[in-house]
Amino acid sequence: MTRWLFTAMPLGRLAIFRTLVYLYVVIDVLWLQTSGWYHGYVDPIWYEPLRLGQLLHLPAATVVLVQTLKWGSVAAALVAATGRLPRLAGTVVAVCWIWYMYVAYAYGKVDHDRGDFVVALLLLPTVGSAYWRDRRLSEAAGFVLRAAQLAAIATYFLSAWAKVRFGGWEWVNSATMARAVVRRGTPWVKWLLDVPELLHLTQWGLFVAEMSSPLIFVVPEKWRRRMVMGWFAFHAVTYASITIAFWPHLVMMLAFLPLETYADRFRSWSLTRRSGRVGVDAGEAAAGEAAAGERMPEAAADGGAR
Amino acid sequence: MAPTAKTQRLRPAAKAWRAAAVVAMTVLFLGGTTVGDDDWWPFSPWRMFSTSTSPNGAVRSTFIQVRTANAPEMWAQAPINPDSVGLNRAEVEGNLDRIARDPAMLGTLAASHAKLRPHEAAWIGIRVLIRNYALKGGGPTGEYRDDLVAEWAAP
Repeated sequence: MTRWLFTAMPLGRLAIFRTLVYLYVVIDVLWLQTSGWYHGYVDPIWYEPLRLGQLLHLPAATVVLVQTLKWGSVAAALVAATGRLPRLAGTVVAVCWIWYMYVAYAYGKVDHDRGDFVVALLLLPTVGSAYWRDRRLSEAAGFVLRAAQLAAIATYFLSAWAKVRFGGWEWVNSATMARAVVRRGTPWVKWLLDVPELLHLTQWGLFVAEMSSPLIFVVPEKWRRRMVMGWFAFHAVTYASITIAFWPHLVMMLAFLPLETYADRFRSWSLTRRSGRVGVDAGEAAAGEAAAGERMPEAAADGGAR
Repeated sequence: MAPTAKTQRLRPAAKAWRAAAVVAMTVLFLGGTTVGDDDWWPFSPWRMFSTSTSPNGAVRSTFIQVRTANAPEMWAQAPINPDSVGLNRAEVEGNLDRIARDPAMLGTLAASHAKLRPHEAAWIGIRVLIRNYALKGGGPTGEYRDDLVAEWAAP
């Protein structure tokens, strides 16, 4: 178990994952989860402290507080996305982003798609220097990726558990999906309401898939990737149907993929394409690749992984 | 490409606290899912679409209507959006019991609306209604009924 938790994985994979996570933070704060910012303008009577806020005595939001958390998240995430100061900038992102989300959720509605992202933000600063083309294997990197995988799959498995707890076993036979389509359905899925049996069947399928999601850890690697792609397809269909996407969770699912291999393939593809267009020979393309290697971010300053 | 450098290992102490952190988070997430509720965030239960909806019941949808200084006699539907009142619909829906007990809470929406949209006509009256869409056999029948939850008028 311990060996599995600390399987050494490429630092390059962690570095790419880290960059994607922190770039997502910027997008999230600026465009996707903006309700925290508006809560700065709301009367404190609507503030309902969550347990975290009671524990840490967090006050109701003000305009100054939400501006600080918003721009603090963005600034620190931009630094951390480059791989510089991974521990310091990563910690600042974790504090600002989690607090900003707390402000978003302490006014009566909690989003249910961000628990796993919190895990990643808390653990990413435990890895120090790593760059995109880093071929070294590291147990610290493997641990963070494994923890992100566990949290991402827990999202599915425990959400099935929550369905049983809050909706009862009859959840699978209830009209939950019909309700979602009535409330949020896009024009091209409204026809589903005329075939409630299909929505009913989909509920069964989703429930079975969520309950069996932990199997992803025991199947062969080829099937593991297929299962990840299956989940991405599920989320794409969900988005097309009811315009809901669990964006931070989708970023977490990337922890299953060999990101460094994809980056290599993309690099050689774009080099081939570029050399094809300007007509340089293979030797020059190889020289270009070597130069590209030197342009990669340098190892960051605040210490290597131990 | 094969790994070129030797593997970076973690010392036993570094592994121990990391493993302890995973155990702690597992306990918190399991606790949140089994006994916790939304206020356990970030360890709250992952309860998206977890409630059951009766195939022959009703789908409830909350909305607000306002009277403005420009048209004080007319109730017009107004959006419940963060950029209009600072809160979204689900946040107002989550507070329906409090609003019913204390309709003055609606007055604070007029205040945040004035701050966020200073160029629009001021709200002098707000009421919250619930629209119940009837379902039959898992599909909507086309019928609905509106229930008044609370009403506020500027003093």
